[in-house]
Amino acid sequence: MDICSNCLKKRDGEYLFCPWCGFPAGDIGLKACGHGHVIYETLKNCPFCLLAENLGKSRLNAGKQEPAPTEFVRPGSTDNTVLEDDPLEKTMLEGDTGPGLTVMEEDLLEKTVVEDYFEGTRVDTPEGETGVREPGEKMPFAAWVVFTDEEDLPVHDIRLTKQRTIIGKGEETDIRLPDDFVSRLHALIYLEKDVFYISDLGSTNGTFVNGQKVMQEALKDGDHLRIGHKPMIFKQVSRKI
Amino acid sequence: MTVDKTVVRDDKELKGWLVVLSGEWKGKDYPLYEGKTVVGSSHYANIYLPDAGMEHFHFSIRVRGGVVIVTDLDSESGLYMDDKRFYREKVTDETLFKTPDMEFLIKML
Repeated sequence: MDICSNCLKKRDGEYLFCPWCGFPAGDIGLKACGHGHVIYETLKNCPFCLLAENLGKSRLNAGKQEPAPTEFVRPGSTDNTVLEDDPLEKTMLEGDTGPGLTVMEEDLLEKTVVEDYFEGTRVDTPEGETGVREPGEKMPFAAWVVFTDEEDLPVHDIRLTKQRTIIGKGEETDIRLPDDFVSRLHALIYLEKDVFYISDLGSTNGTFVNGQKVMQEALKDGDHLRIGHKPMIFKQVSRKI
Repeated sequence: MTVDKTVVRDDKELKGWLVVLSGEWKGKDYPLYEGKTVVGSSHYANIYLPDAGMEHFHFSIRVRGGVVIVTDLDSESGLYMDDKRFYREKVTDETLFKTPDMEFLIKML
C-alpha cells in the first residue's frame, strides 16, 4: 500500500496512475512532519503547519469575534481611498439597477457583479489595519501579486501585507478566488529568511510557477504564477524597507 | 435580447509602483499608470504625501511606452539621486531617488 503524492490518499496494489486523482505514480518520497502531516521529502517546511499556525492567528478562528468589515480599494484609484463597503457592488446587489431594466436583466446584472473578476480578488484586511496598501508590521519587503488577463496585461494588484498569505476559494483565505478550478485552501505565499516561497496546500489542480507544477518553490521578482485559471505575476522589491 | 454584461472599470493600465522607503510614509506604495502622476503635499496631487519637506506639487512621474521620466516641478527642496540634484531624469526599475525627507523607489511591472 502506498500514498498518492498528489491527493495523499492511500491505495492498494500497483498503479501507473492514481485511481483517485489520476496523478502519475512514481517514487516521490514522502515524510511526516513533527505534527504528523504527510508531506514531500524535499519540502523544508510543512505547509500545513504554517497554514494551521496562520489560521490560528486569524480573526476567523479567534473565538466568536465578529468579522472585520471588508474593505475595498477601487482598482485604478491613485488616491488609495479605502471604502468600508463597495458602493457600486452594494447598489447592484440590492437590485437598484436603474430605470429601464427588466427583472431578468437585473438578475443577469447581479450575477455579473458576483462573478466579476475583481470580486475574486477581494482582500479581507484584519481588524485594525487601515487598508490593503499599508505595509505589514513585519514585512521587510514590498511585494505584490498582480492578476493578469489572457494577454498578460495587468488587471488588478494586491500588496502582500502579511508574512503568510493564503490563496483559495474558501472564506478563511486572504485572497479569495471563486473559481471552479481553485481549491478551498489552494496555496500559501510566505516569507522566510528574506525569501518569498509559494507552497501548494494539496490542491486538486495544482499551483504553477513559470509553467511548472510546484509543491514548494522560492519566488523571484517577475515569476508567472497560475492558480486554477487565474494567471498572476509576483513582483517584489529587492531592497528592504 | 442580449444584455451587455460588461462591468465598467477604470481602464488605466498599471505600469508600476512608487514605494516610499523612508520618512513618515515609509512602506507605503502607490500605483503608477500610463501617463503623468504628480506627487506632492497638495490634496490635488495624484499622490498625496503631506510632509513638511514636500511641496504642494513636488515632482511628477511620467510613464509613456515603458519609459519612465521623473521631473522636478520647480521645487525648492529638490530631488536627489546619488546625492546629486536632478531636474529631469529617465529612471528604470528599482531606481532610488529622494527628497530631503523621504526616499522613493520606482518599481516597474
